[in-house]
Amino acid sequence: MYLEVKNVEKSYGEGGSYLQVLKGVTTGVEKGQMCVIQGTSGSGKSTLLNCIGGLDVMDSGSITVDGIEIFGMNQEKLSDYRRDHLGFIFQFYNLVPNLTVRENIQVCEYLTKDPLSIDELLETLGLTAHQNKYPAQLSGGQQQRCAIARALVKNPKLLLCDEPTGALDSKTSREILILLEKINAQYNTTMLIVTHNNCIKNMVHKVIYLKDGMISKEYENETRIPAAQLEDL
Amino acid sequence: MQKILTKRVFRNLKTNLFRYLALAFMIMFCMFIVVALIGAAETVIHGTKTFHEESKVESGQFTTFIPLTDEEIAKLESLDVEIEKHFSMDFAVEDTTLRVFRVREKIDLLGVNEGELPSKEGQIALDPRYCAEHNLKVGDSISIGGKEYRISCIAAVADYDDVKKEFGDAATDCYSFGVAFVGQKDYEQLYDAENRVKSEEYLYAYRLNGTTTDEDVKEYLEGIEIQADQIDDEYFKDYWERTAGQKDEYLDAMDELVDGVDELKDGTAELTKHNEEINAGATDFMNATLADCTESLRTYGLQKDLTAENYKEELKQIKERMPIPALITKIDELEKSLESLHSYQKGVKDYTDGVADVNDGMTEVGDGVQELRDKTKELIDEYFDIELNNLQSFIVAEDNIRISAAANDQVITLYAGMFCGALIIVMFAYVISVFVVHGIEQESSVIGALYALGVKRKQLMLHYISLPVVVTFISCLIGTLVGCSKWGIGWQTADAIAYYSLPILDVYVPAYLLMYGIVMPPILAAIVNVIVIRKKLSKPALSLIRNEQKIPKNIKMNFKGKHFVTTFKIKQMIRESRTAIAVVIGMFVTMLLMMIGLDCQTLCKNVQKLMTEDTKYEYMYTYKYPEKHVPEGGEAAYAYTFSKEIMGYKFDVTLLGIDEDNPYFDTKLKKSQNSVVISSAMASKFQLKEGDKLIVSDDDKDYVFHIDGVTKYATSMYAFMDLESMRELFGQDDDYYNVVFSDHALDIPSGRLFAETSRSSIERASGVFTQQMRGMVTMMVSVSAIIFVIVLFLMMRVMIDRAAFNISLIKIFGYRKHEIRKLYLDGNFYVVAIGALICLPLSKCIMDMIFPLFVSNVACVLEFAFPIWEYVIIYVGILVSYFIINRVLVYRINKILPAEVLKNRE
Repeated sequence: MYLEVKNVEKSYGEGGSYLQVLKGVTTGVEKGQMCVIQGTSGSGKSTLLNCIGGLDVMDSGSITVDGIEIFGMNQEKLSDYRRDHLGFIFQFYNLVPNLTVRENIQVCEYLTKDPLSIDELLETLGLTAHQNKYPAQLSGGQQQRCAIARALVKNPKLLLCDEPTGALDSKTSREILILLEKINAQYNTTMLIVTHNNCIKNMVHKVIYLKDGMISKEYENETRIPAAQLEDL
Repeated sequence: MQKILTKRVFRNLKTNLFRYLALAFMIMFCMFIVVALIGAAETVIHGTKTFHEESKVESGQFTTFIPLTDEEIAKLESLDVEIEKHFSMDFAVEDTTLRVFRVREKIDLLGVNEGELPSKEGQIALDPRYCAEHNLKVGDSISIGGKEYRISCIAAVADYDDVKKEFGDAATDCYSFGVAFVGQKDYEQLYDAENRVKSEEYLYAYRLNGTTTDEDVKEYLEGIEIQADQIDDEYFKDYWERTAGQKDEYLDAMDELVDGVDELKDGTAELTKHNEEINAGATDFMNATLADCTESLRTYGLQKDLTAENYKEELKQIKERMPIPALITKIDELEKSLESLHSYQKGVKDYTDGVADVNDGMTEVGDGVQELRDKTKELIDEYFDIELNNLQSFIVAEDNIRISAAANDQVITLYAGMFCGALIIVMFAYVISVFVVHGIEQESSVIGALYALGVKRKQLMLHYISLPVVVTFISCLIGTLVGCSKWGIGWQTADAIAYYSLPILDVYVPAYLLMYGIVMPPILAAIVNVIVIRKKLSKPALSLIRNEQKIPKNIKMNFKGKHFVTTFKIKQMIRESRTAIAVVIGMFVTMLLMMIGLDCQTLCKNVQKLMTEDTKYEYMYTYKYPEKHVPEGGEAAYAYTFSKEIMGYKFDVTLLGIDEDNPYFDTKLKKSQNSVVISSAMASKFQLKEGDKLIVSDDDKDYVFHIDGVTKYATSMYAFMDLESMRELFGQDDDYYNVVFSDHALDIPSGRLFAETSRSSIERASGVFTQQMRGMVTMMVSVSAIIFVIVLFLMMRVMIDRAAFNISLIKIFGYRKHEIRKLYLDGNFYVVAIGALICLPLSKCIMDMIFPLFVSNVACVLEFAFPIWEYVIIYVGILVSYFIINRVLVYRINKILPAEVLKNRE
């Protein structure tokens, strides 16, 4: 198992405001799999993603990525873990506004000794013509593509996507999903996608449902539909 | 709505408590310093003015060669001029000099700081500075002239506000010199006491009460003729006899000459009267002899009538016709005898003719000598005119550097304080605006939402400026109130008057200072912030909700090929240009403040160093009454004092005539009455250089000299001239001098001298500046350093706050601490490093131009240049401050948690 989550618990606040968000979550994702985490608001899906990404510290349990245990790592080690293994894609792109498309990608290129070619990525993502534009000069889809390029440039083994199409229209969402599918195939990147979008589950290898901090259902998707053929996005 | 927003203000304050506390501390601290500086200046100026009114400060003072008579004083008083004797004597007290006066009763009254005025015999009042330097207190004793005196009082007087021994002293040395006041009896006893180092000075102070002017008083005094025999001073008498006293001898000699010529004229007239008789006698004698000869010839039978005209021819014919040897012998005798008589007759005639001529000439000689005497008298009267005038010196209060010196100094501090205050307030306002803009940018979507809900821009503007303005107001209020307290104005006043001898001054806080300290900064902060945030709040609601960022301008910089980190840092700096500008402005302002302190310190150090270096002689004796011969081992010079004005202040400048081989001054002088070489002190003070014209003036006229060069001499305002040329210029004798330099102490009676200046006293006096200014220098350097550190810290913190999201983002990507620091903090290094490289020399240049105004009333070399290593130290200090702040802020970067920031964002 490339990603292994065991009995992960996470709570916030104290006393009256105490809230246990994750209540012993256990699951796993194989290398090269695309996995979707679905659930209602407050179900704990983003918290789980943050814990896997080392952005948040779980209270107990274990998360291993490629055999590396995250629990108990200090901030410095977590940085190295993210740097060496992860890529992030966010709902609101989170590009650095005063850097151009190319420079935003360079932010992550800098972190690895063996980056992917930026020009190639730009070409793949259809951003070559926009590489010298600033984020504010791009459409939402273009910005998300830029964010994907940024996440991919260091060739991460695990790509964490938090609502990657949440801010996009249907057409652009499809384009992004096709892109993710293509990357998965091309680079064998393991992907963990948190989404509200019910259609996306049809294109991935594994689906996890979270409810009230616990896994209510998970299954391997045997009948994957290519992103290009997804309906009602 | 406004109430809800007001609630948020308190929450904002709580959230940004540290930032506002730092800002508040800086504002309080700066306002404290500024108010203390200005308040102290006002206290000294106002206090001095009040003291002058209460103590009936003089309108002027003058000294005379001999005391004025009662009639002369009465005459002055009749002109509505109040006059009082301020006679004084200087006494050596251990290694110091005390100038002792009688207790004043009418003018320049004593301002008692402690104790009571001397009312009994054996009591004395001393000036505060002398007491402070010697740790003397009321009740202590002091020995003067061999007698013990009990200090009954420590008191200041208006005419010795700056206790300079001589007007020409470069610095005040209150350790070596002080003033004392005793009762009438004690003064009389001291007159004959030992250890008196100077003859009694006949100084009078006057106050104008009516329409009489200073000029009228001076004119009257100049009209009082001196009587040499009235003068007691032995050295004056000696001098008088050698100089002005010779006038009578000259006139007597002229009279004798006239009398002699008259006598001679009478004699020649007498002689002329007898010319006819003498000539007639000679003729008669000749005729009688001729008659005798005629008779003798007849005895030889020769009938010849001999006359003076024919006797030669007749006697010749007889000798030819009658060659009888006896007859020839007789005729030769007669002829010889007649020849002699004829010559005698002619001689008598010549003599009488000569006597007649002499007599005629003597009339002319008599007239000429009479004219010579009249002209000589006129010339002597003119030449010795000054000696007939009893007025020795005259100075009006406005020109007296001992009066109001502290207040004059504080005028400069007042303007400097206001200038610094204004700079600091503008800097605050800008720093605050950076905070406010940052807050608005952070809350862009909230503002947009509020706009969408109908909140007006005015309400939001009020909301966003209220906190910084209130913080500014409260900080200014506290800073100003503490500044007005004894820890502020009181402390600063004590520092400001430490150099001067002043009465105890009550703290004076003018209304404008309260306005300046409390009202003006918040108003300025409000105005600047309204201007800055108005534009920010003028965006459409939707744009604000979306937090739309302005697309960066197409900056024409080629980042291609540049390392990513470098590109990122440059972009970050450009993005944070407003904050960077605040850092640079803060740096510039603080550099300016620091330069005030450093220029002051440098000036003091340079004055001390240069004066010590340039003073080659061990002693300089300035004569009141020069001896006939230059003392053994002395180097004669001739000094003439002019005045020269700059920046509204008049300074004494000395034209010093020296021999070319004078070992104490390194100058090459031309034999010219028009050329001078000036000292470096004069060159820097008056901004003069080689080739310029030096224009100076004395009471009567202006003099213009061509400056041939500048010689390194920082001790005094000298213009050097060839000694002989200077003597010729001022019509002095070939051996005239009034100053003597020496490499060892000379035995010159103090009564002959105006002043004796030793190298050690110059060194000590020059060190006084450094000592006195140490407090101010330390304060300015510390204040500027503190302000710089706070501004840099606040601004770098704002930069981090603004970049918090991006920092969290790159943390998510896996950036390490040192890499984040490199990207977000190290870019500031260039701002600070380059900013300091620009601000440091710029602020130094500007302050070097401004600082002469601050010391426009000080007569000293204006040398502000400090060595390159001091620049390096300041520069390194700035960078070290930056690195320390950088390190501190890394902690803040570490505190930024990626997940939380992302959550906030979403």
